[in-house]
Amino acid sequence: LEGTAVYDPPNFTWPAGTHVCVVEVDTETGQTDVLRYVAVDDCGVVINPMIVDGQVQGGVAQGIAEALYEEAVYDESGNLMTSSMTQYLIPSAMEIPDMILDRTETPSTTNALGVKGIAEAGTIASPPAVINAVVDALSHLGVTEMGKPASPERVWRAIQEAKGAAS
Amino acid sequence: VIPAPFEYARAGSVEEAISLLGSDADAKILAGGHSLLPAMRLRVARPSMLVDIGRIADLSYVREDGDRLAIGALTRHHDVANAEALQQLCPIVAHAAGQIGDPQVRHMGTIGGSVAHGDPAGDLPAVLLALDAEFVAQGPNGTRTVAATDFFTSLFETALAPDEVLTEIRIPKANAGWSFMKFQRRAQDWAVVGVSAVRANGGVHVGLTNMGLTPLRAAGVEEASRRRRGPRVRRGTRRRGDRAPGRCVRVRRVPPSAGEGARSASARGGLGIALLAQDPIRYSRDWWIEFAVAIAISIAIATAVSLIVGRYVRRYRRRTKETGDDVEGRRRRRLTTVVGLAGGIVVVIAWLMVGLTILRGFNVSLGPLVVSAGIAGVALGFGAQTLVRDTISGLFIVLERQYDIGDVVDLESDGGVVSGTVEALSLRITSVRQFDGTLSFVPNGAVHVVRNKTRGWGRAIVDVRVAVAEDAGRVRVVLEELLEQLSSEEPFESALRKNPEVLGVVQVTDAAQVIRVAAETEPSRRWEIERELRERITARIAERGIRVPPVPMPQRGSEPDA
Repeated sequence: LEGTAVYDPPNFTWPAGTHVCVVEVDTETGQTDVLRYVAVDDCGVVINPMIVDGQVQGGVAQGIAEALYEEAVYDESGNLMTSSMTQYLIPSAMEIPDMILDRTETPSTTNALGVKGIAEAGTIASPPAVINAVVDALSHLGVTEMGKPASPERVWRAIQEAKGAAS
Repeated sequence: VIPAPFEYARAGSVEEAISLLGSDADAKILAGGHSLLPAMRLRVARPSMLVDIGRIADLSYVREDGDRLAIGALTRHHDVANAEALQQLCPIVAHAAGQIGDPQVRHMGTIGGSVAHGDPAGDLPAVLLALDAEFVAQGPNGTRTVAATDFFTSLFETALAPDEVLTEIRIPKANAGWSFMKFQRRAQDWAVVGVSAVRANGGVHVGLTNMGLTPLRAAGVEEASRRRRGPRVRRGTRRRGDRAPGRCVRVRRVPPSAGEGARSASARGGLGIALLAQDPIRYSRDWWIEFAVAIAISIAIATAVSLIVGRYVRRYRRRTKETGDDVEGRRRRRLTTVVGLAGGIVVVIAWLMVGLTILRGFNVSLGPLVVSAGIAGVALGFGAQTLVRDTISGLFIVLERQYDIGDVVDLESDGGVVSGTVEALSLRITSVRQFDGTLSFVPNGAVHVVRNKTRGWGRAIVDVRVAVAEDAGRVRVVLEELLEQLSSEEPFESALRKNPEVLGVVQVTDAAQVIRVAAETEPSRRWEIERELRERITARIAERGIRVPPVPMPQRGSEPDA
């Protein structure tokens, strides 16, 4: 005897959120510090708030790492230069700020529980939030774009270029 | 991840370590192991033998040696960071040691290991280079001293021979201003670059971390600093609250000292300059000026407090002089007493603060002082016993309102009775002005009984002596008539609380009978009433021909200070 049942929801769920980041950029060293990070997400009905917060925090940490630290570097012949944790820089807890987390709850209409996903919210929202904050911080110098990661050297060079273009 | 095979030997002494090193050409010394072991695990280092000197206890010390400081090679970073001698006499070393790695690293890693490893990215080598440190090395042929400038020869290479052990680091005392900054991507990482600056020999010595194959001296910066008596030294403000308090000196726009060559080197040079430009040099040379200023300020404050308090107290005291016995007068006297007392306490506290400021300036920490005061306090206590007793008595005199300033009192003390008007009341003593002007100081603790003659009400008592043969009834009528007149006359009417009355005959002798007249008065006006009564009665008796006994009997007087 065998029974098979498949649940195929009629449509995807669409979690939404807004992340706001405040950074301080040292224009002399290019060092960026994240001073404040506020994340408001909507993942529909929350079943376990602790897990939701943890997902957002982890995702934001990963996003900050992507925006400011992590970089895969290859040499001219295509060898990966950052092949171990001694070369591939990920931030420690010291570099990740305390986050202010909040949420709205708009139940999903496409499933019975009213839930949406949360896992990737932090990872998706945080890199642009951080990079935009860096660009905004440097906009008065004429910096209009910033590659990832916004490492001190890249930021410093962007500042020098902007200064060179201005003069 | 797994090191190549190696022998392991633990040395119990420096001599043993040297002989072990001599027995194997590829032997390496293991101290804290926080640089060598990771290198071995990456198989960058493949020593055939590890000579563990980590447990030679007598190589861990920090001591003053004349005008220098000596640090044992096996002193852990944590101990270096917390050595009081270093914190006071060469703070940059203590501070830099406290910035190395994380607490676990600092509890294992040693200063000698950091130096002997010869890593240009290490925090301490550049600091020691800037300080013109000397390194004491012991080998099979005895000890020798190597200057820091000759010590670091190349990347991970030093002037130490393979069979030599670094035993001691000697540094000058340098607490006249310093700065240590490092730039790191991540907490606990090696510095991308680091800059240390120390004021010494009239100039600034600058050491650079991780900007070359060895730790470097920024000769260009030092030259500039000599030329300008401080490299365009300018007073700056504190940055982000993490620096030494008070005045700081900012080093600005120093010429690049490294930067030619590779691109990354140039970036690092730029970073180094940026770092140097940002950190205010900690400025401690003028500590005694700050100290003097602190003392001057505290003395000025204390003096001002004394003057202001003194003025107020005097003003209150002046006003007290013309007060009466009414509620308002009593209130004012009370106020004067309390103001005087509180003022005295405030002044004492102000001067106590001056004392504390001076003690703190000399780095006398108050904790131990309090403890020793506990011991000395027992001895001191015997001496201060009366002081304490006086103070507590004074407190109770005020709290219980036994007397206020302006009250007329008899104070029965150890030295007899002191009578007069209270002029001042401090926690310790009461000043009493006697009627003849003598000012007596009575310790509050010595006051046993207080007789306050200006409290509530007073009674004027006059004894009238008439001859035995006189009719007491007639005399009474005469007296009552007189009393009635008196009690309707100012200024006496206001002094009397009740009409005076003739009490009657209180004594009869062979020749005289004594008739007592008494009047309840405002407390401080009884004497006035008594005087007036005596005067009028004597006159009236003579006028009415009432006979008086021939021998005068001593009059019962109640004048103050009579």
